[in-house]
Amino acid sequence: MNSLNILSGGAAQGLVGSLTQAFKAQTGFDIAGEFGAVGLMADKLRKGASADIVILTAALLARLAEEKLVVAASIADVGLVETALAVRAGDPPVTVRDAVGLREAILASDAVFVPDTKASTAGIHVANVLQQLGISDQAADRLRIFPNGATAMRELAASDARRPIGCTQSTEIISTKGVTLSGSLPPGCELATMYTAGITTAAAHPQQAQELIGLLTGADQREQRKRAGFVS
Amino acid sequence: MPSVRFRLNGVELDVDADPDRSLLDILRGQLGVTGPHFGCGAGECGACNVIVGDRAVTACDTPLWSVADKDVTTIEGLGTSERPHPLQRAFIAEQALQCGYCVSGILMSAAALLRRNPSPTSREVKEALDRNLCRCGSHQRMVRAVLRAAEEMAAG
Ligand code: FES
Ligand code: FES
Repeated sequence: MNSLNILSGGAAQGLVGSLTQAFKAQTGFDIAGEFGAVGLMADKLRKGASADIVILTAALLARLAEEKLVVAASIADVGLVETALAVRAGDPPVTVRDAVGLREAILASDAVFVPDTKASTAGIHVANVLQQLGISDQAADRLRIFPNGATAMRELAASDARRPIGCTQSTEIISTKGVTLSGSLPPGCELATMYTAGITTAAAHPQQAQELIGLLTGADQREQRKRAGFVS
Repeated sequence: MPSVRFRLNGVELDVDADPDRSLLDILRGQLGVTGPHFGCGAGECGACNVIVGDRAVTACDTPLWSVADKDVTTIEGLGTSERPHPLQRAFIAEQALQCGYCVSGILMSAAALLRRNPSPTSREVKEALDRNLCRCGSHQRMVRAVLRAAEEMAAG
């Protein structure tokens, strides 16, 4: 069976999953590949991992095009994703209105589940926000860091901490069972990231990759993108 | 021979060609559109820049298949001698070119920048033109010209 190889930020995993059947019906291809922290996915491509299509942040994809690893003309915006808060399903939601509220919510929590703070979009942002709030040191012992947002959210769902919270891309929260989206980050701490798709210069199946980009960005899939957590 | 359909400067085209051939080759050869220049042929100099969708790309290493169903704009679609684009007027006013070989590519990078950012800072212009080489060394004047065009466009 033919399959299209994908390297993608975790933020797009839910959306890609929801399009797999339509893609197979259209092309006869399955989708294989990896979803994880965007920085790690880009490095895999740089190290020669075989991929037909990549879905990463716009900034990272532009860099890969400059490095001639992605065909610049193939790049298309998929949509904006917000970094958001999550709680275990059934726990009371954390609602934060401002930076002070976020600081309190983090300090009131005994375990904060986040993705890689060096290579993932949301994780890097959390590290910056903790610094901005002046609580990097105080929060260090409660941070639970996982390689990607999906794993962090699964661990949050299974956590037996007293008052755990999570912070990652909203799409990853929405697509994980056992956790609930608990609002965006407050003004001054918020982050909305544009995810874009592009076809690699070494793609074995550029035509099928183009069809997947058509599905990811098509007007007919707007509702599906919204349901997956893309805000535009 | 497979055919690839795209819009070139607003006109819908079907091109019968190997989809792996470079867009520059097709533009300059089969279509006779010679505004985009051949410089390095390796995606390094920007002399061949065109706009695909809303991004400036190097046409010499852009495979034809990748522009299927997209809008491609070349310098021929930017302005004419009778009705030059504000960027073209500003380049003349600032005398921002010497031999001119790099200029069609530079104008396309600048046009893509002004589409997404109508009032760029000098630093943003420099960043947008960073990958365009000019062996005549006209860069400073070009940056001034792009800023001048942006002002003119903002003033309507
Ligand atoms: S000729 Fe295309 S980048 Fe130099
Ligand atoms: S004006 Fe001569 S190369 Fe730029």
